[in-house]
Amino acid sequence: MKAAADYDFVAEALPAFLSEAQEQIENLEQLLLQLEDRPDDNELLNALFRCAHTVKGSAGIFGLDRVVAFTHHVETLLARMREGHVALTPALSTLLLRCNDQIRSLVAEAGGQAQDESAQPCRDELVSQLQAAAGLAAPVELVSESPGDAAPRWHVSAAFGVDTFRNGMDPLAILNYVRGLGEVPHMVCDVAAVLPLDQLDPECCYLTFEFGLFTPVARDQIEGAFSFVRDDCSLQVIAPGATATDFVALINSMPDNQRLGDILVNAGAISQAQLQQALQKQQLAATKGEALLLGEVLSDTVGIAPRVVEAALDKQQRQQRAAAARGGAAGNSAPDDNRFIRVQASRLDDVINLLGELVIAGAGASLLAKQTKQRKLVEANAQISRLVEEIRNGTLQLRMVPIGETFSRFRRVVRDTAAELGKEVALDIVGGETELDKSVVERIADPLMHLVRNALDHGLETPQQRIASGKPGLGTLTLAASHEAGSIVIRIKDDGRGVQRQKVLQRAWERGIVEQGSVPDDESILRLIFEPGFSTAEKVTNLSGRGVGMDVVRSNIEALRGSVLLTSTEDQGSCIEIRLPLTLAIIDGFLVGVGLSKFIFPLDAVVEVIENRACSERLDTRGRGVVELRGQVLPVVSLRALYALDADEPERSSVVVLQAGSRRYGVLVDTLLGQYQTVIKPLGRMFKSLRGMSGSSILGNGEVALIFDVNSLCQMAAEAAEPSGPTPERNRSIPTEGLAS
Amino acid sequence: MSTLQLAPELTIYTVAELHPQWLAWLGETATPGTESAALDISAVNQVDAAGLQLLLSLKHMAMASGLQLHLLGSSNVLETGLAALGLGGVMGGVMGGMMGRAQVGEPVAAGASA
Repeated sequence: MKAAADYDFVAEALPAFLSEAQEQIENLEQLLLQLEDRPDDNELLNALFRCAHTVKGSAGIFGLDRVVAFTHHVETLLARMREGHVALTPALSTLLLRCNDQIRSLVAEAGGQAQDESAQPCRDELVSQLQAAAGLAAPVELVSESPGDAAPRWHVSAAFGVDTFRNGMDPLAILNYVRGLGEVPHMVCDVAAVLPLDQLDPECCYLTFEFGLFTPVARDQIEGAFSFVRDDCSLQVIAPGATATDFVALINSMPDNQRLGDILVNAGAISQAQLQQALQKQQLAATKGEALLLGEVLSDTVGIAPRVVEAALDKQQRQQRAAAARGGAAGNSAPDDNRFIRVQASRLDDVINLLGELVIAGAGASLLAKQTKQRKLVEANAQISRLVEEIRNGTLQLRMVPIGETFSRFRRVVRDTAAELGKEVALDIVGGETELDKSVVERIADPLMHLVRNALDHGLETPQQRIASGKPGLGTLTLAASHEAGSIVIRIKDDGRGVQRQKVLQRAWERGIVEQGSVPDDESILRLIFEPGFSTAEKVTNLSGRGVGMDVVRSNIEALRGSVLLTSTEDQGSCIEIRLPLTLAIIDGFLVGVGLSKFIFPLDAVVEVIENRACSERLDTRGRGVVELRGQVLPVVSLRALYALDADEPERSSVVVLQAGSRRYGVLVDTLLGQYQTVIKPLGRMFKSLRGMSGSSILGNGEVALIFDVNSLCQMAAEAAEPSGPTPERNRSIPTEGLAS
Repeated sequence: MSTLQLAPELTIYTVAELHPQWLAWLGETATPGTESAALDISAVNQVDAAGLQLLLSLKHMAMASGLQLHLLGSSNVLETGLAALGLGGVMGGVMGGMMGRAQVGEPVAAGASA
């Protein structure tokens, strides 16, 4: 019965543990990398230690012994580093990173992945390196007291389950048996756990024991003594040579135990002096739960930051739940105080799809209501629309995640890749808190990875080359994210050698991508890099340069309705700019009309509108011109002319002023139809090549409106504003005939 | 001073029976003004952890109501059992736990016996 409940609990909680452990492992990696930059930062070291400790601790709860055993060694080294005995060197950092990889794979194995036995020798090797690095032939022992005989001292903590008596087991007999294994200098019973007579169920067992055991026998045998009660006894056997950390972990693993300090002293685990010191501190300390405080002070005394304890508290709660589940008293009490719930992404997607339908249906209802001219009905519909909008914002918010997590994954990539290539690179991350839709984040990670590797491999030079060309030996790679006009912009910038046009051109000729001898304009040369089957690296490394990649990167980004742009100055560096829509689903739009056609601008990009002005400006044949806005010249573009819309020129028109990047420009339209909740539908294949458009949407009356991509439209307007600009105009193929709705 | 005569067998087989008896005794004994009472252990000849836990629980409750409990007589079995569970100090008259907060009370043998 109990075993079954226990099993259920583990099965239920294991996925949560795995995902938490993965987070901790990610954290570990980030912290290690940060620590490399700031080796003196104690806070980082503490945080690092906490991470390792949490992984070990929670793995312990689930009985993942392999994880615990391995992580223990990492933790020990980190503890030594915190105490200042060991300083971080690059070699040590690499060792710790490799260990972290092993922890990751051990956790993955615990999650059901096939065990990789070949990794075992590697792990053993790492463990011995860890021990060597920690300078521990024999780990520091807290207890100086040690009797004459040479048998090692184990520490045993045994909390018997409530049903021990009912199952016919007698702890007294078990403890007497343990005494037969070796010498028990002090047996300590946690008397406080035994309830007063009036509350006691005399057939329930509340006994918990702590004792030291001097014995030459192995762990198996010690644990074997408890084998009959193993199912509902919480047993911890701490090996000889345990550090303070283990005991703090023990303290933390025992909920509500105010007297544990005493118990540990009595059991000889820590010295009375250490406890006295701790207790004095405790008296000074504030009025928190006494148990926690003692844990805190104790950990202080033995050199573990209070935060360890805090971090352990979560775990403690979990353990209490585990205990409750084990005790069967609360049955399978579900965790109810979690701050996060994990939801399957597909469920969220379903909701968002439905929401899209709701928005469209709502728009239709509003339209019909307006046609009836019944004020109350219109008002009611307006109210519904407002609510729908709020639900929409809330729901989309659910899917937003900061991009920083994705960025920081690259720290390791940069570190390892740079080391492999013999380059020195500092990674700079800007705007990691910028949020975007989770589905976008997931799909952008791979292209980003490729671009980062590319920058490292092709962009940045070796220190010698850099110094020779008068640059600092340390290269810089910047990953930056920011929000701009309803889209997110990700920039991957390096200060390397830049794109060498001549080489690119040479290669393009060889590959037949460009006709032999013809020299396209600069922008086109840069775009060649994104052509399929193009690679300029002279030496093909295993990192990049296999000729797959940049074209895949581009198509991946374009599949997300994004765009990628490369700018580069030879010998100064390159910058790849990726623009992505914030979300793939629903945006706030601004609806305008030109003739009979309706268009939508993303509302975020609309700065202002100039309404109902006389059409006086002169436009060129492509519909581009300028207007004056508060004494400034504003380039404008007329949609009618640009897309050859078949409609009469109105007498008056309006200008929608849009912001794209750092530029502003105006769009001439006939009518302004106001804000509109826009469910984005992809453009059909036929319109994919249409410049300036990013999608379509269905209006309430069933009409289709095209959604503008403000940036590419901006390029058209900007080009118009400088008619003799250096950039030759590209050949645009706009299937205008397919457009008139 | 009121004294509770402990039964010979303090085990899982008897605790359910003993529990209400002891509770009743404590209810009568722990009246305001009464500071101490005694447990006569001399008859005890069989113990297990459940029985010892019940004894410890009795001690706790008495302590909570301001009543000092002392052990009367001797029982090898009981004393060995208490020692084996690390309870020797607790039941031997030291009421305050292990931090030395409480005074050590000598088992009072003088005076009343039932």
